[in-house]
Amino acid sequence: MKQVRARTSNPYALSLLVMPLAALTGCAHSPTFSILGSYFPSWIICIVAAILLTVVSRLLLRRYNLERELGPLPLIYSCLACFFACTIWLLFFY
Amino acid sequence: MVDEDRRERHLSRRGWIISAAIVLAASLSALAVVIRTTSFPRTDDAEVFANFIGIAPLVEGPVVKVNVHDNEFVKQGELLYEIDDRPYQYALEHAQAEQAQLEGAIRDEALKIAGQRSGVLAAQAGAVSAEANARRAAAAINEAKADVSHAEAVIKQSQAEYDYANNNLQRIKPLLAKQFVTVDQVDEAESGVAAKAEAVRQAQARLTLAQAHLESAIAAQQQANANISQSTAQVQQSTNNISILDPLVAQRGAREAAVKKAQYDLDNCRVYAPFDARVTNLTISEGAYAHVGQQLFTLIDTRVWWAIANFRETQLQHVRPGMHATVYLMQKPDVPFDGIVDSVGYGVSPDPEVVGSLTPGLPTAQRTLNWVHLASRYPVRVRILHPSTELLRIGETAIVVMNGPHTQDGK
Repeated sequence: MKQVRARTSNPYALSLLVMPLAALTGCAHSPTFSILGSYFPSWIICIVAAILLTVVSRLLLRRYNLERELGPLPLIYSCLACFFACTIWLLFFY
Repeated sequence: MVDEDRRERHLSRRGWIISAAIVLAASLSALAVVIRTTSFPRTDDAEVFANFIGIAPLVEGPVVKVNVHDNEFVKQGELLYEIDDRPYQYALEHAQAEQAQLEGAIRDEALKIAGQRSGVLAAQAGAVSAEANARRAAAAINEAKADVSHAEAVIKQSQAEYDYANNNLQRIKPLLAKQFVTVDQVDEAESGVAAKAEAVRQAQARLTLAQAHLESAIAAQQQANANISQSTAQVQQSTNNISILDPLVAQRGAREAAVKKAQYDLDNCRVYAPFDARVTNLTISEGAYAHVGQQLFTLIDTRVWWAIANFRETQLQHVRPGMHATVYLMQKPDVPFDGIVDSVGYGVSPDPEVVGSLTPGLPTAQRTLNWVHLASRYPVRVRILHPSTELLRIGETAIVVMNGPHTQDGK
């Protein structure tokens, strides 16, 4: 189990974490996104990305049987989503 | 399984640490976000704005030349359009002719006045001449009086001589009978008497003539006096008759103003851009009839651009004039513009559901209340510091992010 974690955690986790962020990085960007003529605020983008990241995190945690050790799960995943959303916002939209 | 999970969780200290770390990280990041958004407010309720004017002619007439196209950028002083200037050219010429006519009338009147002044001088000379005539008449009277006296004296003398001759004749006549005197002597005495009598009559005639001369001289003096009165009256009359230029000179201002007005109208037939501008809403062509004050198209003043951002009243304490802000345009979201807060709005229309309608009479107050009130928003003018004339458009969607008090006066 430790071997599996050691072998796969770093590249997967890193790539999954970095890829969407890398797509967002670049020079300064307007905090509003245009999708087919409708403007969406940055926090919606952050929340969507955070939810996706949380789902990925849950998959990873379950895969490495770490979810069993955490609790209470509704609070943990809400906080994880909140953390991702806020961090992405702070990193890319401030 | 559930029991096993519970047991495992209770056993896993690492799990507790990770859970606590996640909760803590979430709280800290959320706190950071709240602090940042509070200190540096942002809004996507913003639009790009610039001043604009409706360009309207000051004179009316058909447009003969439109020098610009819709959406064209024009520099200050560039010709925008021309109105047919011929009627205004003619009006200017008419006004100038009237001005010249007035100047001619003034010169003419000045000559007349000079003539009238000469007439006064002539009348004064006439008065002097009349006085001289009067003096001459007085001298003539004296001369005539002297003639009369002389004639009277001559009469007396010739009367005395006649008396003597007659007495002598009466004395010698009786002596002829006794032959003491000759006939010739008597004849001589008689003819002497006749001659003396004739001399008396002649002297009387001279007296009559001298008296007639005296009367004539008196009449001449009266005439001369009458002439003095007449010429004095003529002097006064001609003095009073001198015209003055004032009524004509007073018209000069009006004529000059008419020329200036005509020139102003003529100049306004050609309309120039008052500032660097973008032509907008141009829908006319040559031949369109331009009315005074009726705008033909719109000019957007491209010198100063603003993003007008509506900030919530709770955010206004972090928005001060002089603060810097970043403005993003949705037209090109990856280009940030530096902006500076010019001013913060001081008034928006009150919400009729809160204040009620502001009508005369008694105020209306709502009886139903909302539990949740929404914050009012006030427009903040953020001047875009280095505007790009290509990108900025009035009404464009913008996002304004305050950068805080970066400048000295923003503190």
